[in-house]
Amino acid sequence: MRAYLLAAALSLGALMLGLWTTQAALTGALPISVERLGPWRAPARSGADEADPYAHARVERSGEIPLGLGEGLRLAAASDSDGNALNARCLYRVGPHVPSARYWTLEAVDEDGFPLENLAQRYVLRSGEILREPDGEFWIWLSARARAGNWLPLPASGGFALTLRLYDPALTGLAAGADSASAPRIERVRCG
Amino acid sequence: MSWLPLGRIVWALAVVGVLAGLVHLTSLLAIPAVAQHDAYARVEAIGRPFATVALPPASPASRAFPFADPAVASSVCLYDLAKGPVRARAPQARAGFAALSFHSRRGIVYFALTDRAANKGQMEALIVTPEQLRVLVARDDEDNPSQDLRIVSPTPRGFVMARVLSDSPDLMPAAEAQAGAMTCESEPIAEAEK
Repeated sequence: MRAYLLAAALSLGALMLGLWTTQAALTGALPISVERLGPWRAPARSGADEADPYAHARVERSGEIPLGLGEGLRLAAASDSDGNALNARCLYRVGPHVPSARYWTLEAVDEDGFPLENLAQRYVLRSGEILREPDGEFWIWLSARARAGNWLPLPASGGFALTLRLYDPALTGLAAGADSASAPRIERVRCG
Repeated sequence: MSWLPLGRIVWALAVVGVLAGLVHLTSLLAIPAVAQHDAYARVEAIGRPFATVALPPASPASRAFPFADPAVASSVCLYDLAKGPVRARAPQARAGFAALSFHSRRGIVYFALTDRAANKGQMEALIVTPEQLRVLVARDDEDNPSQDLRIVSPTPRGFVMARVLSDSPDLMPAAEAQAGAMTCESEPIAEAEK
């Protein structure tokens, strides 16, 4: 009797463990099949023909229409360069450069990948809109309050994630030798 | 714990690990088959075959397509290769980034080309099944090779997506017009016969 109970408990445990690892792998809690670039993460070869089952399942589950390999690359960050979760109460700056690409855009999104409501009703910054220093470097300010210079508005409060899209990038897969120094840093300036 | 010696604990943990692994792999591989709201289903809900439909611009109010870029105007065209190859065409961007991507029924991007690959002001490709490709290749004239970029779709149905990046907010209407100018048309092989 005890043996049967034990077997049933073990099976149930195995079922739950298996489902949890799937869920965790797809939501990013487990870093399976994800490439890192500083605070940024890119799903490995997402949407590509040779996409691995994790990338494929992630795309299918989210309903995203992914960018093709030759088209662009979407990087995501949910925490700053020090590893703290991003929060709209804080002021951040992002820069001073991005990986080489013909065009890029930066957007603040919610956990489902949709733009966040903000007072300015601006959801994205384009590479063409950026004001740069004479040496080509730049800083983008992220805050709920309006700021001079390159400003990406945040909602009044709550967590958020950043999406950096590189169009026609020099690197098509992160494995192609990109180093994390080329990725923009996300620095928390202050909170409150 | 005398009824459960160390050896049995190790054995039990190994069994749990193997079973959990099986459950993990099964559920992972089942997701693409059971996903109800994948990209193709979302496109199918707003479009019909061979018609170009603009996707709603990404904003907090329209939550149809996650991770869409608010700076990008996009349109989609569903295709079906049952009646023959399908020609997809889109005008080249005057300035800025434009791309055509080709998506299978299973949510995979099997091909993409950007405005840098445009020829005579057009981004163009002929979508074919493996059988149609064989027929076309057999009919090719060696002295006068076809100029078509032929790409093989892994599934008979799928959709083409045009993306046009607006370089500034006021260029968004122009980008939308350009994305909407994409076409996909069935081009039965018999027509090409002479």
